[in-house]
Amino acid sequence: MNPVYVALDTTDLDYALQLAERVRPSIGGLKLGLEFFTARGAEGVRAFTDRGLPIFLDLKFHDIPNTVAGACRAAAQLGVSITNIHAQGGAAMMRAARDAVKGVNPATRLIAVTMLTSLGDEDLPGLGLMPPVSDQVLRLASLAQQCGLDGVVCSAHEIEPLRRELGPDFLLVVPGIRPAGAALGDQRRVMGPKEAMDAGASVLVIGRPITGAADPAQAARDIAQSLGISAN
Amino acid sequence: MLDFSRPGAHKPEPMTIAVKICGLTSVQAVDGAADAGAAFGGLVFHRRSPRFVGADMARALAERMRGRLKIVALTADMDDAELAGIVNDIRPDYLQLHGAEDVARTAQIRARFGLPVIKALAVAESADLDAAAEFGKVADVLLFDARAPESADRRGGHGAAFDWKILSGRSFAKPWFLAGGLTPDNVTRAIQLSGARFVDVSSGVESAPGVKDPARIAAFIAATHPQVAA
Repeated sequence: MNPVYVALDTTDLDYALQLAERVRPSIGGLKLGLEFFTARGAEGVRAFTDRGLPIFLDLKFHDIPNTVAGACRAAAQLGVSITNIHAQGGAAMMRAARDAVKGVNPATRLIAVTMLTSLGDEDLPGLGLMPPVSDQVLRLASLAQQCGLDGVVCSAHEIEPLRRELGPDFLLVVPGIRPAGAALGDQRRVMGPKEAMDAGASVLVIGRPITGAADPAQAARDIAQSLGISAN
Repeated sequence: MLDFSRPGAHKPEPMTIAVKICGLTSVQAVDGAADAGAAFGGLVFHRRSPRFVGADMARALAERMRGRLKIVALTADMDDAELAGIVNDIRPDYLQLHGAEDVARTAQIRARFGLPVIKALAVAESADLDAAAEFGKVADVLLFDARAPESADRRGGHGAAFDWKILSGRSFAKPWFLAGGLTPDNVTRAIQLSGARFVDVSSGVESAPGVKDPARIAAFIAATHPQVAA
């Protein structure tokens, strides 16, 4: 299975669908986030799922258990493959979300966000949290697993310790994947695709290295090839 | 074509050390610190320090730092009016209290300004660390600095170190900085001996008192990297 999900950070539905079809032979799915969803809503998501494109709906719900459960149920009803919530919402929230998703479709994967990758150790004291970030990540990821979630979003450098602690079946979905030397942007911790898979990643989320390439289809092919995957 | 498989550009960082470059007085120093990967930058508002920055300069440096370095405003025994001036003027990320503020005053400042507070504690021997228990209840971060010489007119930035081993194995309720006498040459060992995750440097990365040297800043930060410190 192709682990590459392409992050479509846009509000332009036509452009997003066009890009999706171009890269489709070389990817595993597409990630739609808050920017797209806020502009295009459920209709926008259905435009993808209706075409059979696997979608990771990255809306990072964080609210009281009932509210998050309702939102997760609605997300699962859209037919997405993966959706997510903030582990910082707590165990009761995570369990309610899990029950809601699995009640609609047991195949829909529900994963948790632990710490946003834009946060560094220097941000934690201001939030009342004890550094290092890596300890907080492990704590929240373990809690997510306890609550029956399918996995977590994690940064590349957290893959190895999380894989070791949480076992082979827990999904590790890794954003911020980009070629060596590319600009860091607001993602602190980055790694290349092959390195991340070797470390134990399950799904790679790749944005600008594909969407910003002169030839996105070629960029997606190159990445698939670097992972030893031939086009569908 | 982009080479996605090239390893080694980003190594695991199990023990990343967050570095604070304190006493920034120039745009060059701010850029040097940010480009080298420092996490915090300190602006000194203590008038007796050679690193004191006036209001206009502080504003300019803070704007240069914002989003690149956490802005730490270093103060000593200031009253609320002075602190309010700084807070409104430069909107720091952290307030550092580097004077003789007691536990009650530290708590009061924290409550009044709503900013995370770094409380500096002067350390010469193991018993000095006991104060961390009470200050740890009210400050967000502790900073263990070497006790200043008897003759000194201010508490930090003297280039003196204390015995780092006294921190080894101690645990504190709050994150803490190791400070005092750190240099590019000794910081690797200081981290090993103390177990520090946050380190603070000022005179150790200067070419002259108050003049930060970008090359020494870069060397200092390189010396805190795990592959060096391991």
